[in-house]
Amino acid sequence: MGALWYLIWTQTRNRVVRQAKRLKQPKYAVAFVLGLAYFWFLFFSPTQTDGRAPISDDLLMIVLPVIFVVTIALTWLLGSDRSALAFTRPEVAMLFPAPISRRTLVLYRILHSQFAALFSTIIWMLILRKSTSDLPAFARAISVWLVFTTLSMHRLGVALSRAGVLERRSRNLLKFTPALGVLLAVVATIAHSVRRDWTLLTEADGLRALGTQVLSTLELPPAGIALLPVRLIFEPLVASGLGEWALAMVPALLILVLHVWWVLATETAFEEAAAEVSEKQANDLAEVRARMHGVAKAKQKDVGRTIPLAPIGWPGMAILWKNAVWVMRTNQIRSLLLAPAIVVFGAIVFGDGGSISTIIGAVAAALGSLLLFFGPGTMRNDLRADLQRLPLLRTLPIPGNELVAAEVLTGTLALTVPQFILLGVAVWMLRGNSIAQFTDPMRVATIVTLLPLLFSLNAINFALHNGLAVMFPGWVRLGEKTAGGFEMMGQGILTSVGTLLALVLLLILPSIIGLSVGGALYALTQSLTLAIVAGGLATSIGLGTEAWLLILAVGRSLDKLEPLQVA
Amino acid sequence: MISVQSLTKRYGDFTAVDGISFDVAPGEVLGLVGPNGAGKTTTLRCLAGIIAPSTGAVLLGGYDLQQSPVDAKRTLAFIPDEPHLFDYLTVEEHLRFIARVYGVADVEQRIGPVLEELELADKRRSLPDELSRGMKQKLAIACGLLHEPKTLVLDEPLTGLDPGGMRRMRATIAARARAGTAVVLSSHLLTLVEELCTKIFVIRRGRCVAYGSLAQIVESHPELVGRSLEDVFLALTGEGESAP
Repeated sequence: MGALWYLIWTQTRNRVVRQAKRLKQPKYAVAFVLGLAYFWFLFFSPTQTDGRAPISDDLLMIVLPVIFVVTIALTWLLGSDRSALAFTRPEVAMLFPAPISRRTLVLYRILHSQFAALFSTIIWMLILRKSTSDLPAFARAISVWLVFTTLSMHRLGVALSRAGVLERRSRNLLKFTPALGVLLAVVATIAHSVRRDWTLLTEADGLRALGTQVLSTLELPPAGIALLPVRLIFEPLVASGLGEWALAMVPALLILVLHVWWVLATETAFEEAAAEVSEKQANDLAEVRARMHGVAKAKQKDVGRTIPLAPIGWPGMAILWKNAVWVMRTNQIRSLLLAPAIVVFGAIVFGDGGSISTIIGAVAAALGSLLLFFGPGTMRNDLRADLQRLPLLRTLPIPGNELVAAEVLTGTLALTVPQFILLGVAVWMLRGNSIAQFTDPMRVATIVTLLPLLFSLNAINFALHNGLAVMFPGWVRLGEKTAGGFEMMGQGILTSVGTLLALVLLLILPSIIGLSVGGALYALTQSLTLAIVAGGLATSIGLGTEAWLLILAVGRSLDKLEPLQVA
Repeated sequence: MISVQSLTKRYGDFTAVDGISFDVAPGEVLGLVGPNGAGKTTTLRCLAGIIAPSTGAVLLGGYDLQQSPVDAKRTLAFIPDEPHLFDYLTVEEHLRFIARVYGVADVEQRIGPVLEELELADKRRSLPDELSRGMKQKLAIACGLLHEPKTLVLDEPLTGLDPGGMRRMRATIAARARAGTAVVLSSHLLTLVEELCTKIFVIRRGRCVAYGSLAQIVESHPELVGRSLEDVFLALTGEGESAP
């Protein structure tokens, strides 16, 4: 274990030193100072700390466990947890053939994940510093750390369980039975509670009442009992006073210990299985492990699905085509279209108004908005992944700006369609509520205007993300996936801040133009429908122009970028 | 035609390549040799447009790589020692991608022969993950040759290839040169350099220590007459001085 400690320590130290050295470059230094200033303004500025409403502990105890449960459920159901096992290629090459037990390797992985957990704890401490809790900072920090570490352990346990089955090449799901049984039992009890309160849920008047009812349903038995372990993990965070905190820590720590035991026990079974396989299978095992680095690769059967590409025409189309094939083969297209399909189905079935119709509209609006603001950050089929192949890109006879345009266009096209469906449904379904004064023609006008507006907004957002990667390759995580997991949200928040801030600034001018054009047209014609269309189009043109200028600038930077700066 | 004029590449205070110049006419093969860290890969990366020279110029097919990068790169194929491939494109799709980038109209007619030549015909629907190291290298070579480049730059072209693949690769390079392609290759395999190269450029610590045909180099160093290329190389680079 000593060598692994040394590896963790030296890697961390060298990474910090390398990041510090980057600050010698003016662009990194300026960005660092701006980032610090922003965080000071956000968390420590008197104007922010005085007037802001504190975060209620009740709210925390509702929101955080829900996110936690959803994360766990997604981990189990979608298997999106391979990153929990993510050993780097050098680690696979050097550690797996070394005389180190698999148990030690898992311990190494656990320790390694602690750096991310500690960093995220600091970020969340900053976010939660205005909560209503009277707990000392150290106790809150330990509580936050406990949540992240438990979640990390859970993801690791799931990953090892799945890997154990995978590597034995077994279809036998018996290994999963206990954990899967627990998960199904939790889902069944929640379903039972929802079914019991279905009338109350559907007859709730407005979103606030609906939210209150949902919480009540989840708090009462049997759902409340099923979700008790999750609540116990969060109890220390909202304890009042050190005595209560210490008491709450006992069951929370017990749950963590159980998770560690589960991880190590799973690993033991995995080790036994590994010992049984032949040399050839051991090689396959290393291959499987190597593939665990990053997202799931396209399977052989997937290569049947492709898109034709004409050999003559704009060369940038080759980049767009390559990314589109990638989207298709990694099932991103399924993920992108699933929510719109469900929402459209719901809109057709419950399209006659009423609270369900309102719920569908609200859900569509929420999902559409989430996809609008966070989609470009998570969909990385562009330079954020391709910069790892910069030497190849640099040899292609495609100018930097065209290359960037093609990369930006992929995500823009892929996200605009589901966003348009979701927000279009939202505009239509919410007719009985907040925008009741809108007539049907205005509604249609809004939906029509949404398309160019979303397209240009996505283009500028993707251009920003790509620009950030090209300008600051040392700070932006390059690769196909963002850092995985709830416990990695701290890093995500840090890297997202710059993009969101720039996006807000870039929205100002097009918004002014759009409002001016729309307002002027309304004054002339008194037609709100025309004003919406004209204002929306003017905003879209403004955003599109900014996106194109940004693409040109990023292209110039890409032309000057050298592989050494990316490494 | 490849022309390198006073090429210098600096990283901060460190000069990786220091004012080197050479020309490679159509049909010529120039071997770039030197010890590890001599500046070979940096030179090749400058030639391929991957990194920009600090000073000096690179002309490919008559186009200045700095002034007209797109035109210059259209004439070029760069085959690195470590193939860079797209994870989600099959072997055949890599070739279609390259065809679109370089505007190869008759790609349908070219794909088959190129895949046959490089023994990848039965792997055309495989993803890079399913290929061995050597096959990945062959795919990178296929991508490089598909658009019939006028200038060819290869960094350790035999890395990862099996003996049969090495023989075919040597034949391919020779054939391309005979067809009028200007070739620059870097290799530590001096037998390859001796067999294929019409000119040799010996680089040490970023500087040219010898340039010309093997006969010309030996002629300018009478003490090396009758010695093997390995001895010539070691003597020119100073590598042999510390040998036991």
